[in-house]
Amino acid sequence: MSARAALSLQVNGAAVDRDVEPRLTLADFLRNELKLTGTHLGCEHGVCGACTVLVDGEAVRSCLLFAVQAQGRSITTVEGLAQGADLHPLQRALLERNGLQCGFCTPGVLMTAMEFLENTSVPTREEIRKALSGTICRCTGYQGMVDAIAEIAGGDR
Amino acid sequence: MTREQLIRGEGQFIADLPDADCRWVAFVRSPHAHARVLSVLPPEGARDVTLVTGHDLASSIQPLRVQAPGLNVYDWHPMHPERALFVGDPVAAVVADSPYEAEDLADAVRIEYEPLPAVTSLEAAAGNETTIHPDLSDNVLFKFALNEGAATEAFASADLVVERTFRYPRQTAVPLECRGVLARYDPREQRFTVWTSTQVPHYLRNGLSQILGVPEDDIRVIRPDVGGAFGLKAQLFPEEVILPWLARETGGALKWVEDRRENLLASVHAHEGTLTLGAAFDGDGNLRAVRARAEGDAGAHSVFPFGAGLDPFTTVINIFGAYRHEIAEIDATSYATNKAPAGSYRGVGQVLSVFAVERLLDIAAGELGLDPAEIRRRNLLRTDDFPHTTPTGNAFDTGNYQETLRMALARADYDGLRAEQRTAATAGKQLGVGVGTFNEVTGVTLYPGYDGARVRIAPDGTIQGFMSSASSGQGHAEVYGRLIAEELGVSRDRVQIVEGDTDLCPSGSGTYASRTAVTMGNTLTLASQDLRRKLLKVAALMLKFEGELSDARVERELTIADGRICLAEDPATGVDFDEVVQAAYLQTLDFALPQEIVEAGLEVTRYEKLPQNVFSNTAIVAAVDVDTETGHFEIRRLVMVGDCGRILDRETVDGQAIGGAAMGIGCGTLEQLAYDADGQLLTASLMDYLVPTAMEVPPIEVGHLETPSSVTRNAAKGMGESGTMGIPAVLANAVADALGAEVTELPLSEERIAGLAMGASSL
Repeated sequence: MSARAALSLQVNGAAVDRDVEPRLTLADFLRNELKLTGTHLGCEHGVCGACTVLVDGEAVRSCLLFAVQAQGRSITTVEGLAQGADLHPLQRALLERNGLQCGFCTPGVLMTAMEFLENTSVPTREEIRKALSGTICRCTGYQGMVDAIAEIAGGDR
Repeated sequence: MTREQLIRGEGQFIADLPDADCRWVAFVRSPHAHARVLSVLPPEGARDVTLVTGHDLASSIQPLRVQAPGLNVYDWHPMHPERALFVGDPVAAVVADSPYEAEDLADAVRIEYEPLPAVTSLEAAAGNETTIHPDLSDNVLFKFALNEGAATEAFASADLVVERTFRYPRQTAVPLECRGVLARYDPREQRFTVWTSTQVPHYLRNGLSQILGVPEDDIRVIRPDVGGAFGLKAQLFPEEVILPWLARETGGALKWVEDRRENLLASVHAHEGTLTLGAAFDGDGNLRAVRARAEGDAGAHSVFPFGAGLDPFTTVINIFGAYRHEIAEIDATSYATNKAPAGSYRGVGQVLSVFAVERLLDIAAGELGLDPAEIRRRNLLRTDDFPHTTPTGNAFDTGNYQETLRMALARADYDGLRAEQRTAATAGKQLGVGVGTFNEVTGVTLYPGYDGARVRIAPDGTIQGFMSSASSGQGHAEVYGRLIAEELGVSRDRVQIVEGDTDLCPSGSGTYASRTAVTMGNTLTLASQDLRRKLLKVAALMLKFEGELSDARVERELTIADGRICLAEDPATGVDFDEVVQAAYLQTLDFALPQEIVEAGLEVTRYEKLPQNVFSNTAIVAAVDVDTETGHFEIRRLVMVGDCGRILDRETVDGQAIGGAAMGIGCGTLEQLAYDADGQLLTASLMDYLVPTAMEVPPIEVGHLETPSSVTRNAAKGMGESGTMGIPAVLANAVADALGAEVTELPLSEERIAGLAMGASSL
């Protein structure tokens, strides 16, 4: 596997240029090449959602995408959410609402919720549960996450 | 890592650890359930390949003999030189410069197998036509019996005897983070450092020491952040032996991170077993005697440290524990099969005992014409029964089981639900109500069951607690920090907690069986109290106390709070915490400190094992709407009232209660590992092994009662597994109630429920 492909993209607002193996997944590219290890791998077959990142604003499983498929795209990972010392309001809400325990699924939950909140105004709890249904959490029972997202969406209907 | 670091994506899980100098290991795993390994060859044409086999390993390690009462002992090899015992059993390991290349290499290794007949059911295992371990005369890995024949007379003279056989499926914990190991060997120091995603760093070091034949002090085990464990990471795994061994052989750092397929195939499974349970009642529905026979499917191995008896022993020893009865006759057997080894998964053993007991009580209630709540009220232990010892020898300190049940029934409006059942009917929809009451064994005093805590105040005033436990995301640091801060009269943010490093932390059991609050918390309080008394004595000297400074005197005459130690009778007179610390270390006083204070500075290490297990208790009420045509059901209400003694941290307790309940919904309705008759795992992805998503977990209503423990210093009882062990039982009762059918097997799949609704038996 010696052939390499040139890759240019934006990650958390910064331009990145690398030569990569064509078979390198986006998740492994972020984790191993860019050392952005906040994107986690829980199944590597697109079920658990832990590796979810935003690609041009769309929540995508980075384990199912090759890095080269992100050519020219803009990627946001969990590391891109907080502004320095200031957590993103959704991160703050998740902390305050007991929405995490071990923290392994949390980055995927955050990125999934970011896309959802961008596209949905004043969701019902049922809509939030549906939006979260592609990210598995084994610790929390999801209630704190639903509470946090409802809080940020501004309507806890 | 703190919760804030985790939410920023700054956690350091095993896969995240710096690995620039690491080479990568991949395992070649058996595609056969049972086979002789005839040859292992490197890939065709490959040169300079690091390929190791069971023969290589066996030549320089000691096989481990997992020992505990009732276990049949044999040699466990991390990688057996000649045989593969389950699909996924490691047969060879390769090393390469990247994980991608290591996997390529593993795929190309050439192995010749001679397939052998596979044992894939309890019946086949018990038949012994094929035996799995040549060291053993049959497939029995564990056997235990107590009070044999004791119940015969009570059963013969009972007004009512009910007996059924219950089956629990094979399940696995699916922590979202898979396993992983990073191992380094320092040839100059001749010392191993092993980072691994584990719940039990000290056991692991002990097991490694035995297998590698080196002193424990030559091994440092470090647990990085752990992305969930739920029992799965409480055993010693082959990979945790092979990586450090190979690091020594190859002279470099090695890393392996499991993928989900390996995790489902080859970590540990759990829970699978059958329980034949009988109960003898008098005419008023009072339970007199019980008889329980459990058979567990231990898979291929007795796993270190708990061994093959874990699930079935826990099932029978806790049988009917929450209920009054005089006689219990119990036995448990575990059989070896050609499946992945059984280990622990939240709710160990009690998932089956609670399911069977709660189902059997409903069946008995039906026979006696009693309401399910009433049969429980009649038989649950009463407050004045405590302290109480069960016929199987479990000792309970305190409890208010009747009140817990009353609270759960009231909150769920049980009477209202029953009234609705009698009056409202919708075609094709049936309302079912389920009740369950049980207690949960926590802080298990076996294996070896002690914990160690070291609490230290550094000369600069930093306070650190070093614990033998190992958090996997439960939030230990918050609770420990608060306990230490309370004892030392300082703010919580001054206390740092260190866990999961065998070089820094005292030896102890680690984290399993909901032991943290009760055993670790107890030991921690012991150490903190000793340290407080040292501070008080220094302060007393600084405040010019005269005469003997006994513990009782300084505790009586001084207060310690808000960073200051003051006279109890004159709070305006006192010294600052930091002044006392400086005085103790720098000894800038105009008098000499007594030797008992100089000794060990401001640092106390204590080890302790509780005199008995501690039991919390829970009552659950569920209401479900069953679609009798499709077999689908919706959980309308799920009320869980727990009593874990004094609540040390409400948020942590609620998190454990709700998270454990979600897992219970999984165990009760979705989770099932399926093997075919040849021993191939049919559920080796998360598309096949289903766990609950947010859609399957309804709002869970949690209530608390606090009946203090009289065994633990902090008055807490352990908790965290009640939802997992109780909810499958209560949902089964609710579904059985809705359909007027008997449920004796889980999970409550739509197929099974639809079959029950159509009147099919034994689904």
